[in-house]
Amino acid sequence: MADPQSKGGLRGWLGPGLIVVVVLVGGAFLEATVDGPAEGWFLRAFLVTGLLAVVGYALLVHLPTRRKLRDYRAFQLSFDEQCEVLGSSLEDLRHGDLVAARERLGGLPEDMSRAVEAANRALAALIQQIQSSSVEVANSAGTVQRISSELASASSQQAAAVVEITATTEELARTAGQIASNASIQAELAAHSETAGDEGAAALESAVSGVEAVRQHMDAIAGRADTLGSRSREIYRVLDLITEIAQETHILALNAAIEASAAGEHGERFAVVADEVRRLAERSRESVDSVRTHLDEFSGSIRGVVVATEEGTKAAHQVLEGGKHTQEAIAQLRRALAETASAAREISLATQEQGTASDQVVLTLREVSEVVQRIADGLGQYTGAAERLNQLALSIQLLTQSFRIDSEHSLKHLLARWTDRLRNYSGNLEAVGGVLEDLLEECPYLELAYLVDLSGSMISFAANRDLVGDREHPGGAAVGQNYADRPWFQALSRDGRAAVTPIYESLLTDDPCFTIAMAVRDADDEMVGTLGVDVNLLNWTKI
Amino acid sequence: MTRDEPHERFLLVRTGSMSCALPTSDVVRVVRRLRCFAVPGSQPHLVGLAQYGGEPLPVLDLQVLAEGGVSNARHRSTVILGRGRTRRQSVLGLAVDEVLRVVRLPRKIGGGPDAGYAGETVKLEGEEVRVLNTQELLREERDESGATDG
Repeated sequence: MADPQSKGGLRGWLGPGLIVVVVLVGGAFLEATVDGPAEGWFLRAFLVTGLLAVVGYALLVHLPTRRKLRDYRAFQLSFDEQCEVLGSSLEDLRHGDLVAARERLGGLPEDMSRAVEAANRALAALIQQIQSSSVEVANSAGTVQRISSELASASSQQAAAVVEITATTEELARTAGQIASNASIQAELAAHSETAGDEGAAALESAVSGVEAVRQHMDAIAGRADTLGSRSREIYRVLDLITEIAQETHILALNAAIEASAAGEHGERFAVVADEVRRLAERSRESVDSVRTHLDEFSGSIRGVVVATEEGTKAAHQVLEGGKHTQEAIAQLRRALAETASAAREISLATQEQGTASDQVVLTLREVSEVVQRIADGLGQYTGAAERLNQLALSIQLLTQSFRIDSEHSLKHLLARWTDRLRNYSGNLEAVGGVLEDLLEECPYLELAYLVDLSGSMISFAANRDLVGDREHPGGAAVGQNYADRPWFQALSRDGRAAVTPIYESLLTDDPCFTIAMAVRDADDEMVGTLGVDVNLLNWTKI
Repeated sequence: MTRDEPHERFLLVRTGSMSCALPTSDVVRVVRRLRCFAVPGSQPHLVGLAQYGGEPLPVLDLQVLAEGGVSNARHRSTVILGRGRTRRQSVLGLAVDEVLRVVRLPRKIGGGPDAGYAGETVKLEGEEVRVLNTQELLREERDESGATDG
């Protein structure tokens, strides 16, 4: 391909050349057609004019045009370079590397560089703002999701509780009905009891009257018994007198017999009479003894009667006292029964009203249950929306992480810093392991950091024990393991730019995570490996 | 004992658990509740002195006299003995619990003047009865009276 500058130079000389050719062709034509001296003058004038035109053109048009063309060529060269710089910067921008895009702006004019840098910064600020907002949205969505989930759970429990309360209230209403029925029955029973109490009080009064009559009879018997006792004592005195007389008679008969024996044969008959008298006296004494025995028994019986009468009187007194107490108790019982009947009627009325109120409460509770159930359903949908919002926020977050901005929240920028550190340690595996450990220590939300070579084979890795714990590493996390089939490795190998994977479930923690991979370059800026980190989404969003 | 068999009348008395028979020939009178006045320092069988017919009458406790012991002084009857049933001779009172009746016993029973006052024992209607020698009692009384007089 010809040089555009040399081609432009030929085009620059084409105008004056054509003028010279026209002048020369015109002079030649005039030379051939002009025959006289006037015509020779005309020819010379033509040639002079043509020459002047050529010179004038050369001075007035060609030379300024050439200068302008030179300036234009220089400008064009500079413009191409600037376009190339700008293209590279925009290419970096297209891949989200705002830092590289800003670093390339040195070749641009100051105004353009300032304008592009301002746009870069504005875009970075926007991305950072989006990052922060997405983090806040994710956190808020997570909070809303958690709260709405708790509210949904609480609403479900509340709905269940309302159902239980409804059932309990229905049971309460039924119980109130039973209570009302029982209270009515109790009122009837109390009325019956009151009637029975009246009858019992009358019967008791009659019994008390009877016992009072018995007591009076007892008193009469006691009086009679006392009289009998007095008479018995008189009989005892009479018996004592008879005994005394009998003994005197006995002594008299004995003395008579003694006198008769002293009289000898003459007193024989008198002795017989005396002996008969003595016998009579003895029989009298025996009769008196017999009477006394009977009288003792009679007196004993009288004393028994007196004692029994006293006990009967005492018992009658006790019965009367008991009867009075019973009458008072029956009177109190009747009053209590009357109050019970009244209270039972009031209870019946109150429980009937309570039953009506309970029915209304049940209806209200059913409406509340439906509302609570709708709230629970709505909260469930709300929870789903919050979860989707959370996912969306995480997606935005991931989207913003596809940009590399000069921010501590930019994982690509962070990773670029650590790949720069690894640049000095290539080939030193122990040093690489230390760097990876330092990386995990600085970024506690990373589960795994690893370095793979250009063939995709893992060279070194470090696991975050705070997140992974003591569980065994899965098959993928081992030195020598090949990652060539991983999308991030393939994408990195394709254009050498940092790659961010979609969210997937971590084999180490079962938490959602994503991977960021970035090329590690040597001092000659040649790619020598890939630094990959697995970001634990839950811990990352907390940060 | 037959009706033809010579017999004598005795006054049957009881004092304590002992039944005694006193010949009616020496019995002056039977009195009840004769008031006695105890004599301090006297013999245990001397119940005391009573007044009978205006004269002092020594009263002996038959049970203490027969069996010893101490007089209970609760006798209800007193048998007044007198030799020949006269009050001019020696008179003595025997305090007993009860004077039962007059019974007939063989004459040979009773003993002479030289026998002790506790005579022999006979069976009367299946019960042992001690026949007292009242003459001995009255003799002792007379001797004591004589000694006193003398």
